[in-house]
Amino acid sequence: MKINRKKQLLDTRTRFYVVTLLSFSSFFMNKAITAHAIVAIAALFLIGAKLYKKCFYYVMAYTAIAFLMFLIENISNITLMLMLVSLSYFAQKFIVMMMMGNFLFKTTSVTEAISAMETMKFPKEVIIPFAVAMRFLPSIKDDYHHLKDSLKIRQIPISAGSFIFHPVRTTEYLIVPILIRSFKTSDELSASAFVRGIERETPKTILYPLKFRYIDGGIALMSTVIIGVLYWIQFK
Amino acid sequence: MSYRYSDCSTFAIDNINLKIKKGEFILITGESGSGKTSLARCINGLIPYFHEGKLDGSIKIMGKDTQEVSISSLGEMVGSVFQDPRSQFFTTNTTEEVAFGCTNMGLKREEIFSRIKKSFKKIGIGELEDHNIFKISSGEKQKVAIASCYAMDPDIYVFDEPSANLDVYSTLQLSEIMKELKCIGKTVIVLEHRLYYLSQLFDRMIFVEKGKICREYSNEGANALSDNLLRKMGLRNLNFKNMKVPTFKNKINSTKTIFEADNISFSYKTKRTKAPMNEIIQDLSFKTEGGEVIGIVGKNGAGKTTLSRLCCGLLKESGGRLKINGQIIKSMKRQGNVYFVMQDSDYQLFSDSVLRELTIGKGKNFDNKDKTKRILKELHLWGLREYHPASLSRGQKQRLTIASSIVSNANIIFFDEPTSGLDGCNMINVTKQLKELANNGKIVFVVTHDYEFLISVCTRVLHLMDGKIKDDYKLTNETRIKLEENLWERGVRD
Repeated sequence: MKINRKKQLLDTRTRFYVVTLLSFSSFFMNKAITAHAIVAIAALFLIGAKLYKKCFYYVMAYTAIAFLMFLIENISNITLMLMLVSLSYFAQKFIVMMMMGNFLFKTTSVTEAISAMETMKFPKEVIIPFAVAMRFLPSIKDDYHHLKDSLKIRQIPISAGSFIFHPVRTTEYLIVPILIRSFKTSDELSASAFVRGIERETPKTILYPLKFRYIDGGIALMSTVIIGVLYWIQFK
Repeated sequence: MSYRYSDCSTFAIDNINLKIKKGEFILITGESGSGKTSLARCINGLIPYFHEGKLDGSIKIMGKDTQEVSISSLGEMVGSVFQDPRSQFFTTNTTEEVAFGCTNMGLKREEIFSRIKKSFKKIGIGELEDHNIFKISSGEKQKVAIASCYAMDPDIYVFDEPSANLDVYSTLQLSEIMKELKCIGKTVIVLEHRLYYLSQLFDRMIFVEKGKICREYSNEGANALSDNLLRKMGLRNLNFKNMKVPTFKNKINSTKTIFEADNISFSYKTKRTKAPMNEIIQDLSFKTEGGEVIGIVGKNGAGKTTLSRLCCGLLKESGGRLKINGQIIKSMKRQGNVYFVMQDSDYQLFSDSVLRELTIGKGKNFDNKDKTKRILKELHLWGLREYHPASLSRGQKQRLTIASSIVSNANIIFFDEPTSGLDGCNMINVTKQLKELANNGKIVFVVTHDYEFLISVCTRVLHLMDGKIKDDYKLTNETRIKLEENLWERGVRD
C-alpha cells in the first residue's frame, strides 16, 4: 500500500515559506544585481522541481528584458524611457512570482496544501478559496486549449499576437467563454465539495503527514540569509 | 413538496410526494428540463442549502429533515455522483480525490488508505490510482467519482446521468456496480435518459414531467411499455430487441465529395506512454463519399478522437495522406474545410447572440441572411436569435453548434458524441439533422458509443481498435449483430 507517496525533498510548509519570501522580496529588489540574484534563486528552485523547460523560458524572458533595459539609456525621450522602465520592472517581478507559483503548483497537491494550511492555523476563509484556486488554474488551461481548437475549426486562429493586434476580438472569443465556463465549473465544484463535507468543523485527517527535517531548516535558513544579504545590498 | 429557484417564476418541482424505502432501486426519468436534477438536489441537500430558492413542504432522509441537519452530515448519508465528471473533482489527483470525503470526515489515515484501496478495486479501476485527473478520459473520471462516493460508504446513492460519458462496456460495468450496491442493501436513485442498462435493475420507474410525477411503473410494467409509447413520452428504449435499421434513400445527384485517408499514421511526440489517454494511429486507410453517415466506434482509447482531430487538421499526420476529391490537403488547409463539432458546446459558442454566432469569422462581406435564417428556422432557433448562447438549454446549444457547422460550408463534418446527455426526443432531432446533412451530399462522421443513435443514423461503421481499423462495414439489419458484438466486446485493456 502506498501510504507514503514519493518522498518530497521539502515539507509543504517550507515550500510555502520560500515561495512567500521570494515573491514578496522581489518587489523590493530594484537594483540590477539584486533583481538578477533573486531570479537566479527562483531558477534554482524550479530546477530542483525538475521544471527545466519552464525554468529556461522564464530565465530567457527575464534576460531579454534585462538586455533591453541595458539599451534603454539610448532613448532620449524621458517620458517614454520612464514608462518602459516601470513596465519592465513589473514584468520582472511578475516573472519571479510566476516562477515560484509554478514551483508551488508542481510540488504541492491540493490535499497537501489544505493540510499544511490547517496545521499553520490559517482560517477556513483563506484555505477554501486557495484550494479552489489551485484546482481552477489548470482547468482554465484545459479550457483554453479546447477553445483554441474550436476557433481553429472556425478559421479564427488565436496566437499570442492576436492579443496585441485584435485585443477586443480575442477577449470576446476567448475570455468571455472561459469566464462563463468558470462560473459553471466553480458552481459545480463547490456543490461537489459541500456534499462531501468540506465545511465540516471537526479537524480533517492529514493524509500525508508533515514533518520538518534538517534539509527544511537548511533550505529555509539559506534562503533567508541570502535574501537578507540582498536586502542589505539593496538598501545600504 | 414544492420547490422554486429564486430566479425562476415557475416551480422546478411542483407538489411532489415521494417515499423511497430503504434498499429500493429507483429510476427517475423524463425529458430534459423536467425537474429530475432539481429532485436529486433536494435529496442530497444542495437544495435548499446551496441553490437558493423557495422550498415548501419537507424532505426527510432517514427520519431527519434536510433543513435541520448540516450538509456535511447529510453528505455522509447520501452519496452523489454528478453529471459532469470534469467539474466534480476537488483535487487534481485520483487517490486524493477518493480520499477527499474521508479526510473531511476525520477518519484515521490507515482506515482511509484501506478504503481507497477497496474502492479502487471494487469499481475496477486499480490501474488509475495516483494519476493526474487531467490525464485521464472522462469515462475514467466518472468511475473515479463513483469510487470517491463509495469510499465514504453512504446508505443512499444518487446518480445524475452517470452514463453520459461512458462507453457501452463501461456502462455495463456501471450497471454491475449498481447491482452490487443494491445487493448489499443500499438505496440507489438514478436519474437517467439511457434506460437499457437499468432495465433489469430498478424496482420502480418514476416518470417526471414539468416538475410533477406523471406516472409510476413497476419493473414489469415499465418493461412492457412499447417503443412507440416510450417515444411519445420522449424517452429512450428500455431494450433494443425491436429496433430496426431504417432504410436510407440517397437522393444526391450533384457531384459527390470524396474523402480519403491513405495510410495515415500519428503518434504523440512527447513521452505520454504512461498516460491512459495515449492514442496512436497506425497506417489507417479508408475512402468515403458524400451522403454517407459513418459511425466511428471502438473502446475509450482506441484512437477515435485522435483520428477525428487528425482529419480536421488539429493534428498533423506523421505519415500518409488525406485527400479531398483526389487532392492532397495539408493539415492547416483542412482546418475549417473539415468541420469538427465537439462534445462540449460551451467551448464552441463565442458570440453574444445566436444570430451573430453564425456570422463570426466570416468577415464584413459575409452577406447571406437568407441562408442563416433558413438554417435557424430549420433547427427551431429562429425565435431565439437575439438570445445569448450561454442562456440556451443544452439541446438548443447543441443545435446551434450544428447550425454553425452547416453555415461553414464544409463538406465533411465530424461529430464527437453528439447525443451524450440527450433525452429520446432530442436524440431524434439530432438524428434528423445529421440525415439532412448527408442528404445534402455531405460526409458525416459520428464518434459515438450510443447504440440507439448508431442504429438510427449510420449507413456505415468504422470500428477502431488500437489505432487501426478492425472492421469497416455497411450497416444493415444483417450487420447489426456485428455492431452489437463490437460495442459489447471486452477490449484489450481489460
